[in-house]
Amino acid sequence: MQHKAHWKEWSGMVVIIVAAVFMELILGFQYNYARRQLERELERSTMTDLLTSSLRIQEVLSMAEVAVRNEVVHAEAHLNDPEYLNTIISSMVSNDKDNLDGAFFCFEPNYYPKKGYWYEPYAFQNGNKVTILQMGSAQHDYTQREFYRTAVKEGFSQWTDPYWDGDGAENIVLTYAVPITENGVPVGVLGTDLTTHWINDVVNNFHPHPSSFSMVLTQDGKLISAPSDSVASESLVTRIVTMFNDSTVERKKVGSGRVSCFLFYDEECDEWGRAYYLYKAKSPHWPILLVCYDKEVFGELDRLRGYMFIWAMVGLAVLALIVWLFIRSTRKLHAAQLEQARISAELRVANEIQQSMLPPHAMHLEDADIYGSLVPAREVGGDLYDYFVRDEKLFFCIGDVSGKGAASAMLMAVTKTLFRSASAHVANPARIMQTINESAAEDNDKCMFVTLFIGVLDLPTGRLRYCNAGHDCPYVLNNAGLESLDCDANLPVGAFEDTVYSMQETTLPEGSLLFLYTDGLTEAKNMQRAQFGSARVEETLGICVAKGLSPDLIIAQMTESVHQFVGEAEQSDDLTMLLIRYTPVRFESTIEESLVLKNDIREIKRFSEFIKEAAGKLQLDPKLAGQLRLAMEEAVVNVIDYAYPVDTEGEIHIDLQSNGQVLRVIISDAGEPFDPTAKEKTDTTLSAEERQIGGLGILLVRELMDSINYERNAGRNILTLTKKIQ
Amino acid sequence: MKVTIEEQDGKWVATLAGEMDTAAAMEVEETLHPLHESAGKDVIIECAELEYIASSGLRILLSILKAAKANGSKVLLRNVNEDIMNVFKLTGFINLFAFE
Repeated sequence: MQHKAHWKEWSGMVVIIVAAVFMELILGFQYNYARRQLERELERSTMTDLLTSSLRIQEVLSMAEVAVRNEVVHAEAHLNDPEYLNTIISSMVSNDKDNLDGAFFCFEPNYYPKKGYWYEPYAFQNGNKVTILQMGSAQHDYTQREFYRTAVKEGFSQWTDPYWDGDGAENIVLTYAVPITENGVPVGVLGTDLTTHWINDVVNNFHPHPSSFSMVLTQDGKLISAPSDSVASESLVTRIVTMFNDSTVERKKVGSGRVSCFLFYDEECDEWGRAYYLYKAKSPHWPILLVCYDKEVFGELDRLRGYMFIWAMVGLAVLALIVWLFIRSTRKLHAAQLEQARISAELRVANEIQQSMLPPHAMHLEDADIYGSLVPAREVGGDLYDYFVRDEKLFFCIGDVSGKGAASAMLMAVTKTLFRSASAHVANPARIMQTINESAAEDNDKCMFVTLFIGVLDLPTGRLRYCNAGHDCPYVLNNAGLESLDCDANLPVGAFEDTVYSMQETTLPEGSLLFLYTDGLTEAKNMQRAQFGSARVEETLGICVAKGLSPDLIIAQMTESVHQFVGEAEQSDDLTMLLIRYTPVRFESTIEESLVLKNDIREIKRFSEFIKEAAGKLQLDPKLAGQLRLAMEEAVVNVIDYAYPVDTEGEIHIDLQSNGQVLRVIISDAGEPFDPTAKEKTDTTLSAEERQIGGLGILLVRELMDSINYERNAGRNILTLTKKIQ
Repeated sequence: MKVTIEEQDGKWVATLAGEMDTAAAMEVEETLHPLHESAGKDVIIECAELEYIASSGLRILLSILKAAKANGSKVLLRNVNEDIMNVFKLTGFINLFAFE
């Protein structure tokens, strides 16, 4: 069970872990998707960028081509005037100062014999003016140059790859030459040299990412244009160019397939980057490369992912914390509940034990009805009541231990036990109280005390002796009305060891009710904190008596009244009630025999004769007669032996009364108070060596008679024995 | 009541007859005294004619038993009638004596 409970508790954590995994999956998917989208976007913009660069390069080249072609016809018309031709190239240079590095004619060897074998007038920008030099020479044999040969031999014009022109332009240039014909025969070329610096400007005019840069290579992979060192280091440029030329480097087609891409790693800045490239559509088919860094493309996304990850983790951590707190509180609650349940169970057992310590709720005797009720405010209470019958006397008590709960319950149990043991052989309630007090006050460290009322009701006579130790005075109800029993102010039990308790007595008339209670009744509080009060108790009792209710119904009615009064308020104190209704059975004797004996053992013979005669009159069974004789003899001998001091003469009265069913023997004397019922019962299981000689007489009386009752009344010891004879 | 004591086969035999009430018990206590000094002899108490016994009688029997036990001898009650046996039961004496 424990294991299962733990699993249940931690399932919350499992849910969080699953949620974390899912969240991470979703974040990952989102990231990849967004990255893919960004990549596509990058590819689109790169393509546009590359195409734009390509067109711009083409635009510049085309303008140069057009400028040359436009002058070809003009030049062909003035082939006969070499000086005029110089003005053509001179004006070409001055017309395009920005890109045109130079313009030139090259003629077939000896075309102008005056001008020499090689003739190449070359116009170029020299400061603010245009200078024309004749460049052709054996060292500068233009006829061997590619552009010249293809133009003159094949009539085909194309841009050369960039080359270092140390003779004319002193610059890296591109050359474009158009054949000049005379009567359909090529006689030379008109050409132009373009610098390359504009290419960088054109391709790096604009990029969406700040660190991006473009470069242009020749068709066979040589660098034409690279950004300045501040934009891209030479080594990086070299490496990218090397990678571009390395066919083993993995590359992929992008978009329609015209653009390709490969990845590279920039060690200098520890960044991954990618190079897109596009071959220029028109000749020259230069590849244009656009380089960009992943950091700039995906940086924002990576940061976003980082933030999202952090926030997700924070969220999950908060959630986990909440779950953990919840689990902890649940566990605490669970533990508390278990503890509560354990205590409740223990208290329930304690309650059962306590309830089992109480006598039966109801007892019916021939002469009385007793009904008790104890409703503890908590599981265990400090109230008690008890009753039992011994020798035709009803011993009863009701008490209230100070405080509530377990400690009170313990003292309650102790008090009850003390009551039983103290009243086993004593019928004087003050002495019983004294005995209880001495035991209870001893080692009473907690200074707890008990208010206790002890009563001893002699059932045949209705004589009630009682002792009240600080308890609420009981009520007596009879035909004369309702009155509170007069009680002396004795200290509660357990307070002081040496308290002396006073006994009081009264006689309960036939049909009387004795109602005992604890302050839980009178001090029961309703929601307004008002107390039930003795007035309500008296009122309820009055109604009950008027209705002639039986004790159980009276208790029920009283309980109901208190509940109605208290309403929803919590029961603040134990509620205990004990009700005794005294209804003595009248003994109507039909036969009476009397005998007066002297306190002399020799009188026993007279007694024996008396009893034999009486047995005959009562028509007793001989066996029963023998038992009665023995019991009575023992009782009488007891009186002879103990009632009067030695050498004092006294009388013993024996009265036999029978109603046909029950025989009653009253043995009375005027001697010293002597209660034979107070004797401890002789242990009949002892061995011969251990057995005491005495104690047999009263043992036989108890064994042979149905009941024995002792009363001291008006200076006389009165011992009443009864026996069923029918 | 009548009480006789005689010696038979090295044993004391006491015969109790009649009603042993408290007064009678006082009277016969002296008669039965020799049984206290049984001097190792077993005691047989013949109760066939014993009709009644009160606690004082029981006390005499108990004192005889105590004395006999102290001397290592036995006490045997013989022919105890039903009513008296009941008294022995009630007092627990039935466990102390041997009966025949």
